Amino acid sequence: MSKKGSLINVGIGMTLGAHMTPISRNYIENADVVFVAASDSLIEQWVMSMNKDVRSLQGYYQEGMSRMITYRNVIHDIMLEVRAGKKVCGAFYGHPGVFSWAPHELIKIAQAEGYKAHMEPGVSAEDCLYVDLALDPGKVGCAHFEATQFMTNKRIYDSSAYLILWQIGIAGDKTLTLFSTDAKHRQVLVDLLLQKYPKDHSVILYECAVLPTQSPRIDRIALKDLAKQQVSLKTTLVLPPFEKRKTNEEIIKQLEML
Amino acid sequence: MPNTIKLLESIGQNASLKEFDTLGQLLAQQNISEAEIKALVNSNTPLVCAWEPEDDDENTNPSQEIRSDTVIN
Repeated sequence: MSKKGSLINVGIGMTLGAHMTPISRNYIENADVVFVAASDSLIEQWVMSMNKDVRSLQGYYQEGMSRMITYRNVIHDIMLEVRAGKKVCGAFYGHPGVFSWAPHELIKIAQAEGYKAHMEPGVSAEDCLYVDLALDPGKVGCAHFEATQFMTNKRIYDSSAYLILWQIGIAGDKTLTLFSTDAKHRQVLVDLLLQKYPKDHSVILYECAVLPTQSPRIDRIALKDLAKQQVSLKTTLVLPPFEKRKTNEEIIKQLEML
Repeated sequence: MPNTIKLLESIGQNASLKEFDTLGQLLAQQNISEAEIKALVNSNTPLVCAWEPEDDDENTNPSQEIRSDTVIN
């Protein structure tokens, strides 16, 4: 039998009013306490209007302090309420399980301690990107990486598929303490990408709309100009395919012989 | 819910800017004044939303809860 407290992490989607699912809203409205991580102040206010006890997670972030400390403190305080027997809801921007470390850890910890815990999906930035850029990830394939992880590991990627790099606004920050990195950091990323793509390859800087009155940012630029662009924590870099797919004749022959 | 946030929620639930050529057309269809919305939208500030992938270094040693001695604003 599970213990009295519970935890449900929900996604609030990306655009205010437009993306929250009915079940996520229901969990927010009926929780004893809600912890909210929103992308914008108006979205935070919107979630705060849905329950008497909504606590912002913004105060946990401090520039100069590792975000891993932030996330562990978030986990500590949310679990405190679960262990106190409360119905707890974590409301996270976008999708609670996509590009989101703490919500996954919370579910693992809560379940391991015998509490009911699960996630409800939300509309992620990735979902918005596919519709705003009219891009079908199934057409030629698509790989996603966090920008710094992509830069600091020897990743094998395929330039005949889409390459999507998240968080280019903090590309190259290994300290996890910055809220932005500069053009020099982005130039390292550009130089890395130039090993596979031509300098004039047209790439896209994308930011989804967070308010229903906004349009998404879709800036097409040459790869060589990336470093000098204005980017934020919300900016994503999309590299369309450069090469044609190469047919694997060996596998085709094997399949024909079956 | 403050009326202004309710207004934005209502726009988000009922229409998409993608249907219209301008924001003004969207707001006119919803019978909302542009001035009212502009003031609200201008008050919006981006919040911190960053994520760290799991890595092999000590920064991402999973699920260690800290707190108590950390200074939080």
